[in-house]
Amino acid sequence: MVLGLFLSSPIIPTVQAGCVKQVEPEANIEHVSETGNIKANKTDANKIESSTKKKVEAEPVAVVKTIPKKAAKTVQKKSVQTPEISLEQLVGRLKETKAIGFLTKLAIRSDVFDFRDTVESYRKKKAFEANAEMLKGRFDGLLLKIMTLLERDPDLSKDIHLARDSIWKSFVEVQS
Amino acid sequence: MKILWVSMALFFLPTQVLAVTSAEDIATTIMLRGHPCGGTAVSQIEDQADGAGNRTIRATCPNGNRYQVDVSSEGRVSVKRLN
Repeated sequence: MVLGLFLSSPIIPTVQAGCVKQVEPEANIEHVSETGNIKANKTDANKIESSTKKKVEAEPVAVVKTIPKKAAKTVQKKSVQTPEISLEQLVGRLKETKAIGFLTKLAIRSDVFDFRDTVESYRKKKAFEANAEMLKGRFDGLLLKIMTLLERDPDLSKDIHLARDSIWKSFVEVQS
Repeated sequence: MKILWVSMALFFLPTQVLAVTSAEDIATTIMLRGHPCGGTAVSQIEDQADGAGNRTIRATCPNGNRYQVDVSSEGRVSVKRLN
């Protein structure tokens, strides 16, 4: 839910901005049709229609030029904002969720502790950097296992997936 | 009468997360430790606890395998096959 609020906020301004850009040419079209004497002269009307068509044809170009820049900015903002899920909150939600049972939670906890001990042992041997890829693979497997178990709580599963980088960093940084 | 209707409505409201039964929980734990179970729920559950806080659960999987799940007082979970 919190994540949804984070994601929804940057999208709204871009949509509004897009609407503003699209409205402006329409106002111009109305202005042309009002000023041109359509009933008086058919040729004038054709000219007006052709001029409006030209303007209508020109619209998408103007919109295409403006929207992607802002969309790119929003995409950048989204990518920056998504990992803002605290690990404490995730752990608390994992403890509280009813999607997995008590024994399963204990088993996951044991797995996480075992993985942490493994990382620590590699740290002590000063072989962490050499085996970082292998450890990251094991970490991804563990995370995938947890996410699969959270099939009945898709929101939590999604948030864990989004916060996977920060979780990995927490494993790495604790030992350093 | 209103209270009755409200309580009935709350009863039939779909919950976001359905709670897991103990049979499903044990089966998931067995499979999580890499043992075949052949289903998502176990049967013939025997639960025992000693004074030190250790817990022993015995259950039968749908494929006929009987397992013992040991939970230590520290919260470590291990599974071994009995038959």
